[in-house]
Amino acid sequence: MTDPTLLVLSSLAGGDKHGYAMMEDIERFAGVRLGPGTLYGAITRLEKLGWIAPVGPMERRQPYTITGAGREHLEEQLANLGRIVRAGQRRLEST
Amino acid sequence: MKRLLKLLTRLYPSSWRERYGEEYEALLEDVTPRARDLFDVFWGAGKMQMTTWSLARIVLACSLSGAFAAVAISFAQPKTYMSQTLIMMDHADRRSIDNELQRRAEDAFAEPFLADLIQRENLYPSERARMAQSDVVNLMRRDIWLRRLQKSDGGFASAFVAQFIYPDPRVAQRVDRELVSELIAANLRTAINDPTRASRSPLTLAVWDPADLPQKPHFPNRAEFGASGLIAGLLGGLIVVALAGWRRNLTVANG
Repeated sequence: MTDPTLLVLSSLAGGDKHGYAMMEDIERFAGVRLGPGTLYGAITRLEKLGWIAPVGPMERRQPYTITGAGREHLEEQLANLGRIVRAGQRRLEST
Repeated sequence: MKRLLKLLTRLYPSSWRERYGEEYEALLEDVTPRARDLFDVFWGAGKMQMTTWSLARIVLACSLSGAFAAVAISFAQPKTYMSQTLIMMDHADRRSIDNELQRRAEDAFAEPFLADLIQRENLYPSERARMAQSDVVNLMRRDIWLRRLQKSDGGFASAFVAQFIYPDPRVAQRVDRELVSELIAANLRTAINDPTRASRSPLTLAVWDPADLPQKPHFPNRAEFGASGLIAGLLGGLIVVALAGWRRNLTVANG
């Protein structure tokens, strides 16, 4: 899974983070290093969709938080992925 | 590299930089930069520009980029030059004039003559090093053109041009001259060796304008390259716009 928006949402599901902390976290849990342009492309999209929001006073290392709508979207996407993973595993086991 | 990355952030739209510029720069200060980050930031800026542009501006930018890229590619192409000879011809049966000319050309440009010409003029040196003689001869045949001239009313004139295309303009001229001489000699040989065929269908050939020394390259034609790039860019732009619209609809639907 390398969709940057899902990776950012998954990272923020574990707590508020600023850009660099997100990059490090994503690299740790997904083994994917998002480039700065990709990361901020995803942050811009997600904020516009209302799935993440800046938290606290605006500062240079701006932390973000996942919103209720963002959490709902993430849950839905992960459930879909879970179904695909389970179906794939069942099929692999049956052959 | 960090300085270069920061410089690239100027490519983002100003409205985006107002909102995210400071925190983006802070991120660039924190990361250990990698070479591919340069492309990532450049690509990110391009995509962000696209989101703020109108559809017409995106299509225009893609079209112009296509044209510029094609012209740039044209500069990397090896040049070739075309020398041409204007030849007048006449034949008793005007309907079969093309067939007669075709026959004379086949007689004239047989493999032994072309192989000898290739050797004498040292043509296609790199191809000769890796290809069989017959393949090099076939390659040369692709650079020889006999083209009937058309009148303004669309009909064929009693003239044709014999063309030869080669990377060196002087060689192109010399070889074109040799090809035309051989074509005329083949026509005479037919008249001498096969008088019945010749008297039945005599073909008269006369050089009106000898092989010229080409001044401009025949290829690449930068205007054609630019126009092709413009059209390809235009189509690419329309695809980008369609994909962007589809993706936007998909995101809204999923949202």
